[in-house]
Amino acid sequence: MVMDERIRLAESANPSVPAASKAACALPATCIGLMLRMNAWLIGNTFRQVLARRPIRLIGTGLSILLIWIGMYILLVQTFQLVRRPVLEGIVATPLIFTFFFMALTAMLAFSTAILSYGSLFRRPESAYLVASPLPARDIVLMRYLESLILASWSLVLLGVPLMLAMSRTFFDAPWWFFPLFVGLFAVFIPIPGAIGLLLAWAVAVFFPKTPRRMILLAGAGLVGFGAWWVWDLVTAPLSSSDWLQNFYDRVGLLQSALLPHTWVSNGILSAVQGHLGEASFYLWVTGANALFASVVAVEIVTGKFTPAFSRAQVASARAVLRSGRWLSLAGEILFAYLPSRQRLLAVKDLKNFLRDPLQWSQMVILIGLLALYVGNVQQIWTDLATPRLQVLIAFLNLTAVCLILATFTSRFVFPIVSLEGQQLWLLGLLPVSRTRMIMAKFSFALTLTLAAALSVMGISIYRLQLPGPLAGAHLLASAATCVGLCGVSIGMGARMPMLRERNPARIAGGFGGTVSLLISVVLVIASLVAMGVMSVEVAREGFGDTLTTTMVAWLGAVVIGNIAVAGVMLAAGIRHFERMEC
Amino acid sequence: MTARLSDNLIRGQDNAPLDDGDALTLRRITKRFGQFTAVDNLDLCVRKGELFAFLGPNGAGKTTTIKMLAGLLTPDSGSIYVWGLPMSRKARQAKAHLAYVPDEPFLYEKLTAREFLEFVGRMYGIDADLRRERMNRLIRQLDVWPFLDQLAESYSHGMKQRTVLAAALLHAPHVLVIDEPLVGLDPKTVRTVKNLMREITASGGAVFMSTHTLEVAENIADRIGIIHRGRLIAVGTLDELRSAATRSSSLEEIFLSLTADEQDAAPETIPL
Repeated sequence: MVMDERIRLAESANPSVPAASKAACALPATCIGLMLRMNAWLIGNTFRQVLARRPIRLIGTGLSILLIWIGMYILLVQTFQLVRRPVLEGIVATPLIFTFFFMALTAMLAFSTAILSYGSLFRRPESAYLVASPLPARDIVLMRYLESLILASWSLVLLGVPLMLAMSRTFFDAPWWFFPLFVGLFAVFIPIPGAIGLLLAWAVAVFFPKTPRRMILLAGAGLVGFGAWWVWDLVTAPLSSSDWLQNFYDRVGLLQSALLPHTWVSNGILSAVQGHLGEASFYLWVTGANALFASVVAVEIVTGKFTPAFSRAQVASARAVLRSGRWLSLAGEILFAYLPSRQRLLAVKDLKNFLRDPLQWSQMVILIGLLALYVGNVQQIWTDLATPRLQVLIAFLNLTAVCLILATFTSRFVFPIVSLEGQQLWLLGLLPVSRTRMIMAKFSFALTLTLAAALSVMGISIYRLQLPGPLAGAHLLASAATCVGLCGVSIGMGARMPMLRERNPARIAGGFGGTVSLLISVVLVIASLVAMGVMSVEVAREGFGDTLTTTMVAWLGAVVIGNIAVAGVMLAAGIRHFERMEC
Repeated sequence: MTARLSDNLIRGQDNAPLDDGDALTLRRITKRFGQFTAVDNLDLCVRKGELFAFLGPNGAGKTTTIKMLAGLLTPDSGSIYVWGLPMSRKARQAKAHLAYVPDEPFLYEKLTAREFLEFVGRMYGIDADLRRERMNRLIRQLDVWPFLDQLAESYSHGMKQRTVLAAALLHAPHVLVIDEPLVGLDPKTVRTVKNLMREITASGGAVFMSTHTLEVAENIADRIGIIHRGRLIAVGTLDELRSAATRSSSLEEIFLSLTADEQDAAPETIPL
């Protein structure tokens, strides 16, 4: 049967084909098995290599995941117990929590599958190799779809395991078959948003080949924006309690429609945990059937027009004339005016690279934008902000949010910038700028951007909370000091543990050095926040006036000195290593 | 002089049926990127048993043409035939007759050369015995054996190029499309690659080679095509090109005289 399906190319070709070639060209009808085997080789080789060369890294990653799982498990158990404590509210709130959880997951999975599918189908060098080969287009699309599903569902696994264990603990009478059904429902749910993501990636390649990243990010930002507006509008509606509740249930009712996939999986899991096997199996069947249907439709549509879509996507790399260069140069010259001329040149170059990569700046804009939106409207949630203690508490929480976001931002975007010079380090090495100055230019670049973002958000927070001068100054100074510390850690670690052969910033940030940098950043932020927290408690206890108290000066001084010292040590270590490095 | 030379040398093409002797046929191929026309109404045939060198300045449309031949780009108009099979309708069958080696060769970084060759051989459905025999021969011919079981991420450019060539030749393609085949190779491998290309043409296949190294084209090509601004401005054997270009003798002189025009000259002042 398989032989019958084989395409006998030699027979259809010209008779003057050499005999040996005729016999060799019998293409298999499908290469899915072969591609799976090839992927197994790749994973096996990578695993063996990491195990042999960097066993600590492997153990560290495993331990980090375990820590995250334990933390999430404890958090989820606490949440479920809190929700279940008042019986009536528990009955109402539990399905809502699951509805919102799976709705958010649907959007996140669709979005991440779209980004992954676009990259793997249309941009990766491997795709060009496979498209030029006689592999059936369906095999390429199917493999990339499966790969994107697995990668995109990683977050689901990370959240799902502690969720499942927390549920089984909270609902202690959960039957044994809850576990396989839970896993099954998760597994069959993933392809539904995955299929949407695949179609989205394909549509972007066909309709917006010149600005694919921008379009995917705009769609994602639009979705996040709409969700934020929806929730905000719901929460802040100026209605009486009963009207508010009615409005709330009217809106939430739409989200729990029986036609929506997240409702199926949410109902399925709740039925399973309550011991309703028949109902849970029904939802498993419905979700699975629809997932299969959605996958077949998506793969068939993309396969049918894959070659033209691939061809159109290549147009994105065609020559484009940039007219924004002069304005960017001017903005960079002004922004980095305080730097010596050669270091300023390097900083302006980094600014151009950053702003011309939508994946880089858009994430920063989204993070900082959402944070600014929150701190700008926080007084609408906290109704009694005239109380000084509450003011101090909110100001401290705002500082916490800013510092944690900054730690994420610097580890993800600042850490890789030294490694990204790897490809052109030889060129920079020929310039009359020492490597120390090069690193310091990168530090100045990162510090300028993070300071601008952090001080803007903290400025809004201080203005909305109407904090008195000394406390406002203390918060601004603490956030500035944290910027110095975090940039020092990221740049210093980036120079100490660079990945010069890697060109993907996400992979650099996700490497061993990036993980260590993130851990140090988090520890630094926590230490700074503990100091600021103690200061806030003292201020709240003593009350705040127009002058700085000794307590404030002491704790603030510790934050400033601590951050500067850490930055100095990390930068010195990074520079020393970078100076000695051969490229 | 340029216009006259081009008129003399470009083979007139029409909608005539395919010639059995053609390994590659490009009929009135046009490819645009927005307002920019990368390849403009290109007509070209490469005969069976022929080694064809495709020359042109940077940005002339060579790589775009090659990508269309390999099926990576679809032409806006016109058609491509590989070994008599239309790329637009029978892409899979056409690609089975073709091997494409880009200027930046692709290898899976976490596979060894042996694993990669095994993968490629199975992808083309080559029988196990034949696969083993060909792998053996190519590994020895291209000196891949010293690093056969090392991960590709540790290879130099030359090692990568040799591995990719071995993979490309594994299914004994009738048509080899190769972009800058000799860049980064040591003299011994250069000789081997030249011999391999000659083997393909000697057994009735064809080689379509894009290069900037005019000496290579001059020494080993049966026919030479020159593309400029997306248009094929000259095609023929070296002797035909020489006889048409009355004053020129070397390929370099012919190439430079054909591709130089007023539009190439930089303006007297460029706003900076």
